[in-house]
Amino acid sequence: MIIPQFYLLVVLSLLSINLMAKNIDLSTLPSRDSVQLTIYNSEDLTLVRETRQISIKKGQNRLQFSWVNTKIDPTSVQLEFISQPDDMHLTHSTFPHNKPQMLYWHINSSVEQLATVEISYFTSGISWRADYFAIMSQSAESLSLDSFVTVTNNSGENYENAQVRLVIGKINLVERVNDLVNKARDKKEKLYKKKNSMRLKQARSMMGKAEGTYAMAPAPMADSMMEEEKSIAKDSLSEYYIFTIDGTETIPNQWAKRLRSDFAQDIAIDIIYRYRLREYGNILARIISFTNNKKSFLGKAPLPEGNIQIYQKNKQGSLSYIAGLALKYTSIDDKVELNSGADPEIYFELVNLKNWKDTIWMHYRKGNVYRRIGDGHIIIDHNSQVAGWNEHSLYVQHLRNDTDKPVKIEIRRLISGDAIVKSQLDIKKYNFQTVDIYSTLAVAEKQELLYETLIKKGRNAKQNQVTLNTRKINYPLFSK
Amino acid sequence: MNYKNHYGVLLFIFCLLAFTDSYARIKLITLPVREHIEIQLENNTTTIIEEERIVPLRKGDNDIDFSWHNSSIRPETIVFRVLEDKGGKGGKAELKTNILSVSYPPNESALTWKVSSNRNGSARVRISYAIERLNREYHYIARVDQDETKMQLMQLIKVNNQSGESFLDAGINTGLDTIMTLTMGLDETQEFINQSYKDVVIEKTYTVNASQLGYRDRAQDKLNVFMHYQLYNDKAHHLGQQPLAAGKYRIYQQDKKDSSVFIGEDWGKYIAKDNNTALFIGQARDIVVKRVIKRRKRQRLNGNLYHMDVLLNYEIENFKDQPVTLIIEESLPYLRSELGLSGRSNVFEWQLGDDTSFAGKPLKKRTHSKKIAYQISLPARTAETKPLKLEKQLNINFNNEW
Repeated sequence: MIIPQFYLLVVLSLLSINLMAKNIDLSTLPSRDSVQLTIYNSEDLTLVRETRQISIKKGQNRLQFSWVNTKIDPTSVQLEFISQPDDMHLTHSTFPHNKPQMLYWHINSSVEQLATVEISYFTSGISWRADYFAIMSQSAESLSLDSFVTVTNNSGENYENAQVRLVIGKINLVERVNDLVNKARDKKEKLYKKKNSMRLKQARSMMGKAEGTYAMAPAPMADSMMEEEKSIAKDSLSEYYIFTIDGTETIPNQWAKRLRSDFAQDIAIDIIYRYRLREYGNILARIISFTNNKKSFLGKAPLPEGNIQIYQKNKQGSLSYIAGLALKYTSIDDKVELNSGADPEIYFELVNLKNWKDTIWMHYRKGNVYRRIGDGHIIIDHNSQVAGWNEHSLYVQHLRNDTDKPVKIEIRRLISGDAIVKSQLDIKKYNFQTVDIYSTLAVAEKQELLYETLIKKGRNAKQNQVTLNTRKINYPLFSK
Repeated sequence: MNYKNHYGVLLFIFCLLAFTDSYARIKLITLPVREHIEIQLENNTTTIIEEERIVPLRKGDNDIDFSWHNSSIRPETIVFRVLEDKGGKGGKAELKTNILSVSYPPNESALTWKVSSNRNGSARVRISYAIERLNREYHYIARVDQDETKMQLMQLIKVNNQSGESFLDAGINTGLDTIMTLTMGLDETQEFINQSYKDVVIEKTYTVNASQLGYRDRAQDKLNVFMHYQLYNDKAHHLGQQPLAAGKYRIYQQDKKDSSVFIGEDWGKYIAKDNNTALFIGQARDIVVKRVIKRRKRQRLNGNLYHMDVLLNYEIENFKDQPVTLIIEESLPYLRSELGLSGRSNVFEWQLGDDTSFAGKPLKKRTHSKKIAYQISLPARTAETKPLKLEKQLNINFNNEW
C-alpha cells in the first residue's frame, strides 16, 4: 500500500500561538470521508473536493494542511465549513516560509463540536480520455460501438473510493496548474499570493456544489451477486458536458483505469468514397459515417474526441482490422465521419486528356491596343505580346468498383481563377473555386467521367470564381 | 523447436483472489491455455492475432490479467469479447458476464479486466490485438511455356515472426475461404503456397519510350526495347478470383529439354480484379528502333506567338524469327525539352500533324495530354529475306506557344 503523501493535521492549540516559535505540536490525522474528482480533458486540471471530520474547540484552532510530492496548485487550496458554517470562521491562512507545500488555517469557533469541512484544490497529473471500439458487421451495413473513458492518475496521490466526474469542453486558463506547482516549488516567496483566483470561482460556479452530505455509499460488492456494469450519467452544464461515473473508483497513483461509458449496436452506417486533396490527401478515401442520435441508439451525449479502433467481422466470425483513427468531438445529432483510408478495390485515376488555347489577345505597344487572334483585324507586329488567352483542359475521371456493393463517390476539385466547368455530370459548386462531382457505381461498373475546364488567363480573367455550364463532353479522337 | 524454452512472454491470468488489493499485485493464479489462435493477414499493414481461451469464472467479480512482456502488442487495439453461452448443458443456466473495468498497472505491459459473472462456470473468451514485427510478404513464382502465351502462377506468402511471441498451431487467415494451420516459433519464418493458378493467359509486349526507358545506343539513336508480360486479373485470362497482392514475381521459362530457365523478375503492383499490370522481364536485343527528330519548324503567328511543327522518324527492324507487337510511346514533355520549348507551363496544346504515318488511332489507354502511343505489328524475319525495315513518322504540332 502506498503511503498517502498529504496530510491534514489538527493542531490542538488552545492558546494564542506564535508559529515561528512553536516547533512541537500535538496533532490528529483525520481521514478523508469522501473525495470527488472533477477531471477536465482540455487542460491538465482536476478539481479535488474532499470532506473530512475534525474536532473543533471553542475559540482559536489551527489546522495544518500539507501536500508534499503531489502536484497540487497551492493557490487553489480552499477550506469551507459544511456543518454549522455560521459558528466557525476562517480568520486567516499562513504559509510557513521554510516549508513549501504546507499551510495553516486559523479558525475561530463559537462552539465545540465535530465539524465537517470541505477542502478543495486543483491538481495536475490526472487526466482522462475517451476511446472507442467499433465492430462492423460482415455486410458493412452496421456497427456496434463500445465507448470507454480511461482515467490516468499521475498526480502523486492515491485517490481511494473517489467519485469521478469528467468534463468535456474547452475551458480557459490564464496559467497552467503544473506551472503553478513548479513555481511553488522553485520560488517559495511567490507561494503566498492570493489563494483564490478567478479561475477557481469560475469553475465552482460552473460545476455547482453537490447538495447534502458527501458521504459515499459503499461500493455494491457482494460475493453472492453479479455486479452490473457501472453506468455513466451524462449531464450538460453551460457549454460543457459532465460524465459522472456511478459509485466510486479507486485509482492509485500511476495507474490507469478504463470504464465503459456507453454501448450501442446495430448503428446504421453509410460508406462514401471521397476525394478531397486538402482533407484526406491524394487518395479516394473510404469514409464510414454514422449519426450520434437516438435512431443510431446513441445521442445521449456528445461523443468526446478520442481514438477509435475499427474491426470488422469476417467470414470465419473472427475480427479483421480496418483502421485505428481519431474520432473528433461529435455533438448530439451530428455526424461522425471516419476516414479508413484508400480502398484498393476502387480504381480511381484522373487523366488530363487534352489541352488547348483560344481567345488569344495580342497587346501592341504602339498605340497601346489589344487585338484578338482570328477576329480579322489582326495587325502583324513582331513586337506584340500575348496578353490574354483562354486555357481549355479536358479531363477524364476513371472509376471502377471491384467491391461487392454499389458505392457512392464524391470528388472535390479545386479550379482556381476565372473558370468555367463544362460537363453533363452531377456536379455542384462547393465554394468560389471548388466543385464537387457526384456519382454512384454499381458492382463491377466502370465509369469515365468527362469534364472540361476553361480558365481565363491574363487580361481575359475578370474575376476569381468558378461557374458551371451543362454541356455534353466527348472523348477526344486524337486524330489528324 | 522447443517452445518450452521460451519464457512466458504472453500471460493470461485468471485471479482467484478476486477481491485482493489489485495494485498489491499478489495473486493466486491459473493459466488458461489457448484453445485456438488465428493470425490475420487480411489488412495490408496490420497483423491481428485473435486467440480464444476458456476462463474459469466464479460467481461475482473476477480479475483477469493479461500481460505481454517482451512481445510487441499494440495495447490500444486489444479487444476482449466473451462469447455467448446459451447454457443448457447439464441443466445449467446461461452464463452472463459483464466487463466492469480495465486497469493498467504502472510500468508494466499488462492490464486487468474486472469481469462479473452470474454463476460459477467457464467462459469462452476471445482476445484480438494488433501485433508488430509479425510481417508478411507476398511473392510469386511464374512458369511460362515456350511460346510465352501461358503461365503457371503460384502465390506464396512468407511470414516472419519477430514479435516476441510464438504461436502454436495458428490458423493463418489471408482472406481466402481456407485457413492454413502453422506453428510460428520465435524469430521463425514460414513460407507457404497461398494460391495456385493454372494456364494463365499472358500477352508479351515490346515497348519503346525515349523518356522513361532511355536509349540503348545514344550515338546511333537506338532506343531500349523493353519486354513485358501483360498480366490480366480476370476470368478471360484464367484469373480474377481475388485481387493479387503486390509482390515480387520470379519468372521461369520452360525450355525445349523439359527443363526451365530463370528469365527475370519484377515487382508486381497490387492488381484489383479485372485490372492488369505489366511485368518487366528484360530488354530485347533483336528488335531495333532508331528515333530521330527530323523536323523542327517554327511558324510565327504574330509577335511572340508561334506554332511548332515537329516530325519524328522511327526506323524499326525485327531480327527475330517470329512476329512481335511493338508499342511506341512518346512523352510530349520530354519531346518539348529536346526541342527547347519553354517550360513555362505544364499546360500545352498539341495536335497530330498530317505527316503522321502510323495506321489507325493511338492507343486509348496510353494516350493523353502528355503522351501518345501507337501499336504496330512487326513481321518475323525469314531465312530468305533480310529483316524488314519499317519507317514510321509521328508529326506533332505544338500550337499557340509563346
